[in-house]
Amino acid sequence: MEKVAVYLTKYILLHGVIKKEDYLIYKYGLQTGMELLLCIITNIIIAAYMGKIWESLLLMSIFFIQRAYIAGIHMKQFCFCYFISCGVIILGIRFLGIVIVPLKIVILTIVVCLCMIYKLTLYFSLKTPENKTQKYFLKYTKCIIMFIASLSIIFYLFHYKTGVYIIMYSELIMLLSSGIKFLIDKLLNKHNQKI
Amino acid sequence: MLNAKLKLLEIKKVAYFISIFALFFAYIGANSCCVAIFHQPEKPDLTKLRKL
Repeated sequence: MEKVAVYLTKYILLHGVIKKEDYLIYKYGLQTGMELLLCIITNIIIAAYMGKIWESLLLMSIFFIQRAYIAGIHMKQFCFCYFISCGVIILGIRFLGIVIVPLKIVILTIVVCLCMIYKLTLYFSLKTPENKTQKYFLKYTKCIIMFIASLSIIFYLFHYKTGVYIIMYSELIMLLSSGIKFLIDKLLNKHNQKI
Repeated sequence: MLNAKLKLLEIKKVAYFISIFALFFAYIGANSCCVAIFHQPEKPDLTKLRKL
């Protein structure tokens, strides 16, 4: 994907649309955009085959909003990222309706996950050197957490079980992602201290 | 001559569209932790695009 982004950025640079000093910015934008679109299109096609497009769109929107501001693990190579991202979304919609959990436990799980995600976000935000960025991301994280909590309550009140399950699944994945990043950070810190 | 100019215009339109697409996602990347999926390409200096 990086090679395609480099080719397209050179193309627009050659036609005088962008300046040379902005080359890296546009290359980054193209690479990120193409990777994201590829992931979304793949998920939509598979979800359409399974007959669960709306569920996949809901899951993707809830999941992606959180990923934008809540820290989590990242893969070094796009291939692994692509398969994991698609796998996470497809697994979620595949097991909708198969795994049955009482609604009250689902709501409790969502609340617990949101609290733990918030704590982990606080931990990660304290590590960033720039105060402005830290406050900015933390502010948006609080808004997103409040939004998801309200959305799950609305779905619960309107007996939209699918929506509540989707939120619970996305929170579990987000917690797993942030939790793994936290563990990796701790292990790296221990290793650095030993050295 | 006219055909050549029209072709050039078409090519420039495509180039502008690609640049808008790239700028949109670069803006999102500049103002967020991560752009949605489990991969983060190397971030260049995006302070120009930040709204912080």
